[in-house]
Amino acid sequence: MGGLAEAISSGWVHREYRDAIVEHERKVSSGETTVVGVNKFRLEKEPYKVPIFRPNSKSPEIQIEKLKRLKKERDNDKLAQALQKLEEVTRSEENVMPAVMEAVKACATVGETSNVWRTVYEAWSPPMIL
Amino acid sequence: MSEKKVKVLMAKPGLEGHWRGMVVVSSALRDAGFEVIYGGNMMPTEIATTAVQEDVDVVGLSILSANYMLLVSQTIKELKNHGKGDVLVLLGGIIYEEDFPALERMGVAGIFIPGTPLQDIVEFVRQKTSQRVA
Repeated sequence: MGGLAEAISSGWVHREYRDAIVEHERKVSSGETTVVGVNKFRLEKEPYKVPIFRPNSKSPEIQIEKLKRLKKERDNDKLAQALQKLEEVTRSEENVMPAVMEAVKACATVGETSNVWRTVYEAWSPPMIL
Repeated sequence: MSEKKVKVLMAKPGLEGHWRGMVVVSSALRDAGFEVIYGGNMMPTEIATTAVQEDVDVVGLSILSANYMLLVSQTIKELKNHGKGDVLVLLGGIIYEEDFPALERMGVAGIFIPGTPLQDIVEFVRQKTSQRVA
């Protein structure tokens, strides 16, 4: 098959995944597979009230503010150099981890680090064939 | 009555990658004769522009994060902004029952939580879309 990378890019892994979950779902709905609480021993009513976690509705704004502050306060020249280095290493096909560590120490965000790879390679979409 | 197949866009607004439910529902809808576009993870704006480009009748959202109130309202707002406010919006995932009324007021036509028989979802879509064609 050519290894895992080839199996993923050919769509084989995702087809196997899809087939397995669709088959499992079929077995659960037909009763061939028992899932307690789903297709057997179901309770009509919840026996007690489960407390619901509510995220802070201001979280996105708080996070955006923090990000803006980080981008203003970090050493952006040092960051640019680190990201440049990461791009070079990526193109050389050597281990990128040391360069990633340097970028992170220079306060690179996940987005900025990933964008280097999106520039070098194309963004990949999972081959979820229906 | 039109011969045109009912078109469904299935998408996950946000970043979480719990695809399983969406893959199963997408397969069931496809097997039932609907034309399913599997969008995967998409931002609300992308969902709206894809819904316009593909001229879909139904948008199915799958959300397994606690942030569904915000994501659903953003998606519906974008659909309206793009002139697709008339599309049938469905929501699947871990959705608290006490939020159902607020989601329905936002414009969600059907909410499906884990354990919903696939046939119920298929029937719901079939019934709602036949009303639209008629």
